Amino acid sequence: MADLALRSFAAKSASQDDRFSPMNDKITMAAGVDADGDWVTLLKENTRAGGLGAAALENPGKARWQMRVGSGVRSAPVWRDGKLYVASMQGHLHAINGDNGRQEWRFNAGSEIYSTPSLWRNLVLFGSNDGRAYAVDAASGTQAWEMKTNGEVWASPVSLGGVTYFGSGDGHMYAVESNSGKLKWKQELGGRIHSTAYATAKGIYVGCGDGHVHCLDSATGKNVWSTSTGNGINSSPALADDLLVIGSEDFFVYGIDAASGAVKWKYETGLGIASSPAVANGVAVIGGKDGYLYALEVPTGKLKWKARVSDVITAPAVLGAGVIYIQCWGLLALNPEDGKVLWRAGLGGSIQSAPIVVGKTIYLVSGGGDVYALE
Amino acid sequence: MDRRTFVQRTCIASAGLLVGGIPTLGEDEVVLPQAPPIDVHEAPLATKSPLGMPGLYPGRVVELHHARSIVGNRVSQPVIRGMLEQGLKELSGESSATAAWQKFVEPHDVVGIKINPSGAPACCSSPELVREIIRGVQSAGVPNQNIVVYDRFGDEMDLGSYQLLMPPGVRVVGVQNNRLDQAGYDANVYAQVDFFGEWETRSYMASVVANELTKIINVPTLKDHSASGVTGCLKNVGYGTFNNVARSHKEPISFTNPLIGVLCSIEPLRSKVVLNIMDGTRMVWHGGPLTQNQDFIYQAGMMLLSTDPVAMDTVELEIIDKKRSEEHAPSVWEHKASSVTRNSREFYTDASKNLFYRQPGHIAAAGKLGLGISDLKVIDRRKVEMKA
Repeated sequence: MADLALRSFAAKSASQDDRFSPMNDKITMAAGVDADGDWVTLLKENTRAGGLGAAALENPGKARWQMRVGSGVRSAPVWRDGKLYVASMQGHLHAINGDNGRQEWRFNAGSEIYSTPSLWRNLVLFGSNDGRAYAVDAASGTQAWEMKTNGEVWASPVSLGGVTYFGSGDGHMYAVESNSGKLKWKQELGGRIHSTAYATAKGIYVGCGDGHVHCLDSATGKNVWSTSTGNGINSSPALADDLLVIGSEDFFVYGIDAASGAVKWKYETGLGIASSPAVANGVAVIGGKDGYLYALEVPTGKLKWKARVSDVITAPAVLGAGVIYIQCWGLLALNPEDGKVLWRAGLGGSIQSAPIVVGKTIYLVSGGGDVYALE
Repeated sequence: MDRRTFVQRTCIASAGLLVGGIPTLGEDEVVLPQAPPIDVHEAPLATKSPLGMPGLYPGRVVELHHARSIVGNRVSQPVIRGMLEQGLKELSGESSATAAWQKFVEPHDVVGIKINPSGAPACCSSPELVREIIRGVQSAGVPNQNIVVYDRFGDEMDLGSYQLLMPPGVRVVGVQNNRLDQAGYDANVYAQVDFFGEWETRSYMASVVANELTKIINVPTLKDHSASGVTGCLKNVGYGTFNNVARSHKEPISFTNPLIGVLCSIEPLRSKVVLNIMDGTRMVWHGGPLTQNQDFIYQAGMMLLSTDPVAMDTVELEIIDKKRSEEHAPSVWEHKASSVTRNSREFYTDASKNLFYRQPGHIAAAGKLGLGISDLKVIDRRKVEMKA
């Protein structure tokens, strides 16, 4: 279970570099992302807006196609130019034709992959249990580069300004050149790093297994601030209105001032949090291991609603137009106003993945390695 | 080496009688079928370790209580540290926790920590306790790269976030990544038995246990079990080390007795388990092993230590059954047809219902195999009440 998926959570893919604005030091997202556009990281966009703009679909009636990747999957798929990229526990990265479900190529990393891939220019980036981050050519499936660390790489690589950032189980954050994998800097933190970083031009924000949220200088990796929580952090942060939103295994969701690291608010849930927040329109949606999905007002941390949708939630939610999608054993669609279930589909049994929505199709990967295109 | 373990049972029926249903004894009591013999193919160590089950202190169980060890369902690592150190000193008679650890592990050892993630996230071996055990093993000179936190199922370990929460360098191993994954098992060490006509009749030992680890610290939870009565030291390390074990129970019949004890007796597992540390901060008194229903999870604030898994499980059984009695739930020994349901939803919400005829007798059966002492009157039970 990853974040189980969080590990994999939204990377700032470099394909989003163009959206970077030096004026405000943040990646900005156009309101209403094109629902037919690419889905280059776990929640579509670097902003961690959770796929905002994805279409609100009716209960899917049929599978246009279905295929199996041959082993379990504990990460989310990504999408670009009509191609679906799925990483498996057998150590394979699969490129699948979105029209017909046929595999176009398969890259063998040789060890389990928990990391949700991210896309940067012509490269597919991901980490592996063998301690390496890989870059693979999206067209041919051949390896472009690899970067070795001394621990598992479960986080998603995040690219910004030609630099790719990722954490490792060896307790270090790494910054490498996106086109070559050459090391720019590495910085030791106090524990394993499965959280996927949120990158801006100045700061790299990331959670750590030692219970701290860290802000590192993007250029040097030096620590800008560290804020303590009560337990390790699996969750990957989202940034909204200068507030960093992140969950902790200490049962709390935190709102942290991005400039100073000061805790502005924290909201208590019933168990630890491994999921990551999706943030849009002033609301953060995040799941807990207590099985509840929580909608919190970003400025205050005040609860808007909560809904118990499963025994446990570890995957992040996708925020569509008028709908929230979440994978918890099956696929659920919820009303974003009150969290009530609109429909359920008993496919996609996984708590470590997230769906992607392209036009009127939902692409879904199950924990057992089944891949569906639902209409 | 091959051996055949014939298990002595008093039951008069046989598995074949299941075809015609389960016979009854009087009103509601049933007669359960006798388990078939189990063949064992093991790999004994060249020199048998005196630390293996039942270990250095047969029959001794240290039972610690601390009201602040769990508050608001959160486990306090500093309190756990104090409990663990006190418990080790009480168990070993040493004046320091480090000296106690040195009785069990040496710097050249490769130490496995067998957790119980089954039931995560609501009730599993607390990462806070596992981190303190790692600290203790380190204090005896074992480097991080020679410490392996393991269980059979990687997906259940993920639910507990163990990989993230362990120190860098410590290996975290899920032996299999899905229910059919067989690559992590040693084809030369197994138990063979046909319970219900299943297609695969062997259960193989995990390779990491058979070939890599030199010592094992067993970290079970305090939990009832729908098929075996309780899941404690024996079930955690037996069913958590061999594959294809769920086949031992098919509703409503359970052959966990005798399989649990037989698996624990197989070398080299038997010789490698040197210490049992039970996480009793939470107690699942019904719905085990997988329940997430907080109505059946009591924040007990306990920790138990023993080298003798049979003695500790005997104490656990007494604790669980006492709690069930307080909650007006039937004893785990009860074998009434009216208590058994095939409706899992009913089982998970009604403490009077169960999916199987539980087999808590597996503990005494393990005692007969020489794994420890199962007589409560003989067990040296040392209760330690720690001040908040």
